[in-house]
Amino acid sequence: MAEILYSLPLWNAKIVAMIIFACMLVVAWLLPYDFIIKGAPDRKRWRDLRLWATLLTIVQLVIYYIF
Amino acid sequence: MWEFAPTSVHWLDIVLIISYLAGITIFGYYYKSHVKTAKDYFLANRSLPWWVIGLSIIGTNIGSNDYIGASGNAYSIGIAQANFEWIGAIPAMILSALVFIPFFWRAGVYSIPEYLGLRYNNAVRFIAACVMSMFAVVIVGVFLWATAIMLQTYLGWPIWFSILVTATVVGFYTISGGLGAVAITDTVQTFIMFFTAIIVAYIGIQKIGGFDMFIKTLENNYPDHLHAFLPANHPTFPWPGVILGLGIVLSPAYWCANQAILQRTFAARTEWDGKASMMFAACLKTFVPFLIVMPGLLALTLAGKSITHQDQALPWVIKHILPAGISGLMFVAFIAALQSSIDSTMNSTSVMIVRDIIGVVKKNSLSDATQLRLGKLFTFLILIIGIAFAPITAYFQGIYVYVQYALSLFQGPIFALMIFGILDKRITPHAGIFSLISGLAVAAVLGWLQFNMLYIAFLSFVYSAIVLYIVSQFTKRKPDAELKNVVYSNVVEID
Repeated sequence: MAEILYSLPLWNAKIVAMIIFACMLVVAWLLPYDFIIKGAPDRKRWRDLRLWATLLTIVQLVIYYIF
Repeated sequence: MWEFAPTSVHWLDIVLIISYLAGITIFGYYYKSHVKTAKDYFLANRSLPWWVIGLSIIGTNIGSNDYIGASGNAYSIGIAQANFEWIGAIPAMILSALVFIPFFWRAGVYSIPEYLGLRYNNAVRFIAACVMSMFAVVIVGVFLWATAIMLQTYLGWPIWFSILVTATVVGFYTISGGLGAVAITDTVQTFIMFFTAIIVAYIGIQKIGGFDMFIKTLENNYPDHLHAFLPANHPTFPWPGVILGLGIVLSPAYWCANQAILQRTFAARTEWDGKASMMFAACLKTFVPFLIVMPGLLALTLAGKSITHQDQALPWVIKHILPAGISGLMFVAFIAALQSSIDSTMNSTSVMIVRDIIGVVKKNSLSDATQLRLGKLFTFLILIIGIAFAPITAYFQGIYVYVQYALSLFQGPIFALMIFGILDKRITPHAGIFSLISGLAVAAVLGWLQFNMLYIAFLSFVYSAIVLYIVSQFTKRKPDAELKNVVYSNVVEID
């Protein structure tokens, strides 16, 4: 098992990290809008926290793509 | 810890440090008038907006040790150190914001053990509070000692003087103003940390000859320092360990179940503010490597491999790059990092001692006034014990690592109780108590067998999860009526 891991190129790590971020994004968008917006004083578009998660994930994907 | 001759301190640096200490004391003390009840003291009367909580979370998260340790690691291994801020934090923060925080907020709890009490029973609440409080008190001592060592090294201050000054200031506003003062001062302290980091990065990059030259130097001379991951056979940070151990267990355990981090989200003025605060903190977290990784890379590009010990990287930057005034600002950022971590730990630990330990023993019969009085008393006592424990730290080489190791002993079992307790209403109270106690025992045995802390956290988490499900098959679960807004399948509208 260890030998297999040692032989994997480093880009495998990047792929796994990017998959984890993508999974979190999927989880965020699977949550209902009403659950996300609960408690907000209004329903302005920017209060949709799924959009925050999307922006955050895109930034992370770019970081891990570059490095 | 490291060898470094004290720098000659410019008067401007001293003025900056004294101004900061005086300003933050007055600023924090101002909040005293807002504290009338235990809810004011422990939860700032549930009045905090998302951006204050978000900044406070980051302030609490970044300790003074991170400056030295992370910049030293960055000098040694490069940008891979930033994984602790990225893959080792952000997915867990999103999970915490969108899945965990809504339940904590709706349940109206003051602490993580209190939530465990609602979900399981008071025995689980009591044990979790005892274990978490014990380690929190030790951590206060370690933080105080580590910062005193830094200030002695840089400024030549006697250790006892550094401990007394930093502890007096932080104790003054934390005891008088409670969580409100803690959150507001954390916000200012986080601003100071980011502001300083931007200035240090700017000055350092200008010294190198611009951003292009900075990147070119790294690319040409230290290409390995620009890789986010290190090989699987790396002795310290192998990529499978970083992703599986840090990313999958330790990081969610920290961001979804750490009392000091989460207490301020319980104090959010609305459920949305609680969720948004953690998302905002995650956005800020993306840039935290600028604070604590960048100085290491600047030292590498300017000094090459001439620095004998990696922990000297930041001291080298302060001595050789920063002009008078800016180095004072850097010291202020150090002290701010220390205070924003200690104040949160003190306040959140006093909540657990008063409500989850004494409260459970007294069968929740403490009046509000008693809770407030005990809250202030225990905040003071935690600080005193921390001060008393601080010098003991000197007798243990690398005690910070031991504390991290000790934390890994209970993070796995508690996180298993949290996540499966929230997601599955079939998990029973008896399963919770059995899983917690035996999970802690398993973690202790693994520690005794000298397992790597990442593996201890992962294995004790898996063990506790299995035990939760097995014991739940044979024991009685809580009625649905008692699990309203405590588990995912029993969410009800609360408008």
